[in-house]
Amino acid sequence: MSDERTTTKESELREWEAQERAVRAERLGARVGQDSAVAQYRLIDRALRSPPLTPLPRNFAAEVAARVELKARAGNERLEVWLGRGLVALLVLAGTAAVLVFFGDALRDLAENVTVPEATALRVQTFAGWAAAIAACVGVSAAFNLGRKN
Amino acid sequence: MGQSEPPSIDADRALVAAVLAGQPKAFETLVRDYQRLCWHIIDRMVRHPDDTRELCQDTFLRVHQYLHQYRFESPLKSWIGQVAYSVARRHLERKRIPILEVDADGDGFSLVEQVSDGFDLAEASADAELGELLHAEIEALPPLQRTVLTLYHLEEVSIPEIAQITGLAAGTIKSHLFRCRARLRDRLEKCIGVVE
Repeated sequence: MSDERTTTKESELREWEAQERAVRAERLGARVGQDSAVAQYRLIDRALRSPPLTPLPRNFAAEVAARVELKARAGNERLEVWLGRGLVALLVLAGTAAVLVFFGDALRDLAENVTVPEATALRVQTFAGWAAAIAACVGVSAAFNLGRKN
Repeated sequence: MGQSEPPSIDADRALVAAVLAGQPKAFETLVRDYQRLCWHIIDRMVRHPDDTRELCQDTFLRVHQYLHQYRFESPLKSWIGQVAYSVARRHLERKRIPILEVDADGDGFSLVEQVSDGFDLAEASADAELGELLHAEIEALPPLQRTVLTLYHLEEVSIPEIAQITGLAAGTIKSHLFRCRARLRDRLEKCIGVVE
């Protein structure tokens, strides 16, 4: 059993060496020798060097580079849009803060002096609640869409 | 098809730096340097012209996207080849095409013990029928073996580099090369026997 395994290993090693000798001979363009095994492997090497490949398009590199540039430009434009939105949000926040700082006391006085009927106050509260809920839905949906696009 | 000299490691560093700095035409140069390797890997894996084109473009888009993560731990050629191989492998997995088939009866070949006397290489090379037989046998190989053989014989990529590209052990690559070539010789020998 062990002898059989050794013989198999030796024959496999011989076969591997014949394969590699054929590769080297083909790469170097060496003359054909007497060994039929090597000659057969040289024929196999020639077939492996000329497989039926799909031809590479002539302008492939330029096309890919243009696609990458287009993608990068689209990315920059998206960034600009988001920077614009951020700026608008910042202005709204700054405006609100300015109104509170400069007119906070006046607004508080006005709120204390103006009496609103209970029913109206309830309606205003309900409206504000629904508006907040709709705004939250729109916000979550926009964030989800943005995440999916990215 | 001419074999172009692979760029040196210094040339690769300069090229990567130029691409990352956004220099005009730098990325196009990178694609031109490695398009042949990627094309051959993907074409041998998927064997579909339209898919090859799409996946090869996808490979370079990924290369551009992740180039800043490349740390020069392996040659750029192996890194890009690895991206191409994984893009093609994922495509085949999505289509449920196995990249490696295991024959029920072992490898379907036996080592040729009796060699035909006086095998004439020049005559055999001119024999279109033998050429067709070998190409048909190569095309019938599973995607992984076909790709490994193309990388080693056509692209002249070394066994350690093929191991890096495919993520397999060098011994496994050697085994695929040995068994596929022995199987091709077995078929060749049988065909010659029939012809004679």
